Amino acid sequence: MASEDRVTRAGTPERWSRIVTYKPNADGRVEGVRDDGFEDSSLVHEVAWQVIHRDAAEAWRQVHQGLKSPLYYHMVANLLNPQMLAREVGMWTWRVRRHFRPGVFAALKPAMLQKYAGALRLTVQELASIPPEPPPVDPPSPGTGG
Amino acid sequence: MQIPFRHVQGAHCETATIAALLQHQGLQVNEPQVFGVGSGYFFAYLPFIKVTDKKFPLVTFRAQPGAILKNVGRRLGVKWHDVTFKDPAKAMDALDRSLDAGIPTAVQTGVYWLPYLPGAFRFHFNAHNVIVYGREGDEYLLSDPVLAEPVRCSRADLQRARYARGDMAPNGRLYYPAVVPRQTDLRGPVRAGLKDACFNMLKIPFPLIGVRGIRRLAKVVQGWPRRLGPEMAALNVGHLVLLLEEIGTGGAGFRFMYGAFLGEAAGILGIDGLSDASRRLTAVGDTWREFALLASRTCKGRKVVERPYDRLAELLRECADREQAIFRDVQALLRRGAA
Repeated sequence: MASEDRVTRAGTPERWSRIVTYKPNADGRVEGVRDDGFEDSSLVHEVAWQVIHRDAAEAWRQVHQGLKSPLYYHMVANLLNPQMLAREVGMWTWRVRRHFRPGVFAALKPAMLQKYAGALRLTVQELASIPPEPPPVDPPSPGTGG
Repeated sequence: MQIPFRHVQGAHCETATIAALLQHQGLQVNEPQVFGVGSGYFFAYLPFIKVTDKKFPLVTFRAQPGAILKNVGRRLGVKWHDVTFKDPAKAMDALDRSLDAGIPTAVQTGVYWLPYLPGAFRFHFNAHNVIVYGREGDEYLLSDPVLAEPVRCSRADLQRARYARGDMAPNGRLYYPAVVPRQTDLRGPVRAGLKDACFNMLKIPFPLIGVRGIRRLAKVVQGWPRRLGPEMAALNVGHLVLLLEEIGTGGAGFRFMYGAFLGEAAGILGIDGLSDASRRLTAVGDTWREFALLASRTCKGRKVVERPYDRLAELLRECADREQAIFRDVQALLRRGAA
């Protein structure tokens, strides 16, 4: 399960197929029924994933230009922030942030890379590289942000 | 090996898990009853707790995770075996042992690390409950109450999910009912649950909780476009929709499920007035849905009404007023029923 699953595919990922909700039946008693869910909240998912894809693409660009280490991209692609990543690996946040610097990251010991790779469920090779192409950015839908 | 276990899809992971575990041990309770007896119904707007990348205020429609388990145990006389582990290997061993003993066991997991869930639901949330009911080699058989069918998950993935870090970290927590009463009189527990819900919604002297919390949220939502700017305001209402509809609430932030419980309670306690309350609460659920509908469209930037944020606030106030009336009536009915 590489992070690529989530952010390198365009569009909104699939949702639950059906959910259970409780609705009154013919006698007026409320009971559980399968339901196709609340369709309009898929609009919210579209907007949320546009933001996620936009952030991931921006992170990819920064790593590609050599401003940030690949670790930074994998953090963003896994919907984490520095505080969360620091807790996953059990280190201080400032130390994790420091590892976003390409030079510092390149000098990390294998044990440290293994720690990050384990936390992000990546191999060390995957951790040390980024995908060849930037993650797709969804075309903004008409009227977004209004 | 595999324990014969009936998978049931539920509306909410915590209540569905508890109901399924108790049913497996022979105690006939359904999901709304667990939700009601466990005092799950709640509302709180907590702007000082930020969720999802520390960007959005926490709005919750239910009691804190774990509260339902505790209340159900106390009121129905169920003793839970409920433990956490420092060492992941020990946590997996304990799970294996309890499966070997033929006990379907619930584990707390971080949803992000469960590979079988659909992509849109990979977000970092650490209090998701799943029942493990068997193992074949390196794969575990899981009954995830939010899915229609049972699923499989590898040992490594399950271990990662049981050791997600961050807020509400599971720490390898697992639980199952150790002592289950043969049969139980639901009247006392149902009454206690109803009383708790009335107290939580009406009486807590803090302006962010209960119906007062809903009114406060209305006021804040109205100010979002001015205070946060159009983009952040849109994302904030979108986040509200997710909390209300998408994170296993059974729709409309548990209002539909509690409507079902009020109907059950009418039968159990023999108080007809509660059926009326049940219908009215389901109707309030529809208004919450109307709110969610307008909120989703606003988030997407579709113009449906003039000044959408004012309309959203209006809908919230309407929900608050109607819920206040319903729970006042429930309180009165309980008092009369007791006399």
